[in-house]
Amino acid sequence: MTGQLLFSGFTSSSAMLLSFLYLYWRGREQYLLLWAVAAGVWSMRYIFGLATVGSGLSWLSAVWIGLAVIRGGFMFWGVRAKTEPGVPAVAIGVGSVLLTVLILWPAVVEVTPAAMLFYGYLAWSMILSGMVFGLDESLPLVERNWTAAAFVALGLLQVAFPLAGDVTAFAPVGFALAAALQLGIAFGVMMTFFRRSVEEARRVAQEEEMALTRALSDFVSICAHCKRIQDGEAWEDLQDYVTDRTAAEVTDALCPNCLQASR
Amino acid sequence: MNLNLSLLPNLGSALVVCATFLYVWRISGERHLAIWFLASVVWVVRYSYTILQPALFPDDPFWVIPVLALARGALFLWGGTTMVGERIPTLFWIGVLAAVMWLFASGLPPDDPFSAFPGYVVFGLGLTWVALRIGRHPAFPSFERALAAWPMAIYGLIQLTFPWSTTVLRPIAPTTYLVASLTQIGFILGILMVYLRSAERDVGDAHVRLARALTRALSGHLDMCARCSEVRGASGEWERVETYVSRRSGTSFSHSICPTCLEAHYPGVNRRRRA
Repeated sequence: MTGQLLFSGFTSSSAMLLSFLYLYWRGREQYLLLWAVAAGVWSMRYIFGLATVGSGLSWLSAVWIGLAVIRGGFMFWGVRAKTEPGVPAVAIGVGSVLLTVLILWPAVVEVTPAAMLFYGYLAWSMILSGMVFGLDESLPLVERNWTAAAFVALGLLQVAFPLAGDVTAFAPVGFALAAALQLGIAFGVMMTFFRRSVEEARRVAQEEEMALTRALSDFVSICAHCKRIQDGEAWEDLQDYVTDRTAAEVTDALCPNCLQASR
Repeated sequence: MNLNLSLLPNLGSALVVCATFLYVWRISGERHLAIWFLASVVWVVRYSYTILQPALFPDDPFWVIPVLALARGALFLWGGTTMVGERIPTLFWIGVLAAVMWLFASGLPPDDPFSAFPGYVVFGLGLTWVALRIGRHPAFPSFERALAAWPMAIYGLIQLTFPWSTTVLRPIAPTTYLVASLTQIGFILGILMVYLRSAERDVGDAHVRLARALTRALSGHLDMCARCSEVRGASGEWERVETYVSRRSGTSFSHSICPTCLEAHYPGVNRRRRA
C-alpha cells in the first residue's frame, strides 16, 4: 500500500516535471525550468522512498530533508524569476517563519520547532508559487486560478502532516491527496498555457478580420476625368494610391474598349 | 467498510484523463475527444467498481469487468477511428463478438485466467491500434505524438498480461496496475501537448495571416488600362477601378474634378467651386 502511494506520488510529480519542462521548452520562461527542477527533485524523493520502503528508515531522514529543502529552494527561485523585480529574499524568509508560527504554534505539541519551520518553509514555497501564478494577468483567468488553488492546497497539505498528530495514520490519505494535487498542478499549467494559445489565436484572427476590412476603407474622392485621387490637399495618381496602400502591383495595358477607340 | 483501496491511484489517474478529455473537447470541439471522454468515464466506472466491489457487490458477477473493458475498448477505438477518419475495423467487431460469446459460453469461473482473456486481447489490441494511428498522424507534431503514442501502446500491450497477472502471477499485479496508471498519465499528457502545440501553430499562422492582411488587402498584379483606368479582374473581364477596389475593400468613392482636369476641361469654372 505504501509502495503504491509512493509510486503515485512519483507518477504525479513526474507529470509536473514533464509539464514544466515542456512548457519551458515552448516558451523559454525561466521560472518554468526552475519549477521543473523542483518537481524532478521531488520525483527523486519518491524514488528514494520506494527504495527504502520497509527498511525502517524514518521519513524525516537526512536525505529526505535535504531533497525537500532543495525543492523548496527551487520553488522560491522560480518565484523570484517570475516576479519583476523579484520577491525579496526577506519576504520569503519572513513568510516562511510567519506561516509556521501562525498556523502551527497553537496546535503542535510533540513536533519540534525545527520540523515545524521546515514544514512551514515547504508550505510557503508552494503557496507563494501558487500566488504568483494565480496573479499573472497574462494567463487565462479560470485556468490559472484552478492551478493556483492546487498549488495552495498542496502547500496547506504540507502543513497538515505535522498537524495530523498520528502521521502514520494520516500518511495514506495525505499521500493520495498530494498525488492528486500534483496531477492537478501538472495538468493545470498545461491547460493554462493551452488556453492562452487558443485565445491568442482567436484574438489575432479577429485583428486580421478587422485589418482586412480596414485596409482601404476610407471615403475617397476620385476625379471623374483622369481618375486621380484626392489625398489631403494633393491629388495622387490612382496607380500610386493603390500601390502605396496595398501589395498590388499595377501594370499599364489597354482594355478592349480603349483599344478599339484608339484604332 | 471493506474497500479495495489499492486501486485509488488508478481511479485518480482515470479521473484526470476524464477531466482532460472533457476540457480539451469543450475548447476544440473535436468529436473524437468527446468519444474518448465517454471511454474514460467507463474507465472511472471500472475502477470505482473494483474499489467498491468488496462492500457493495460481494458476489462480483464474472461479466462486469470484461464487459466494461470491452465497452471502453470499443469507445476508445471509435474515437481513434473518428480522429483519422476511418471506420472501426470489422475484425474488431468479430473479436468483440467472439470475446463475449467465450465469456458467457465457456462457463469458466471469474478467477480463471482464461475467462476474460479474449476480452482483454480485443481491448488491448484496440488500444495499440489507436496508439499506432496517433503515432503516425501526419497532422500531429512528431515529438508530442510520440509522447502520446508510446505510453498508449504500452498500456494496450499490458492488457494482454492482465488475466494472468491478477490471478496466476499475483505478485506482479500491483506493478502492472502502477505501470497502467503511469502510462495513462503519460498518454493524456502527450495528447494535451499535441493540442497545445497545434494551438501554438494556430497562433503563428494567425500572425502570418494578420501580417499579410495588413500589407496586402489587395495583392498581386493588376492590369490597368492606360486610358480609361479600367482594371482586369481574375476572370479576364474589365471593370471600372472604383468597382474593383470597393468590392475588395471597405473603400467607397465619390466623383469630383481634380484641379488639373478643372483647368484643362473647364477653364472658365472658378477653382474654388471644385468640391
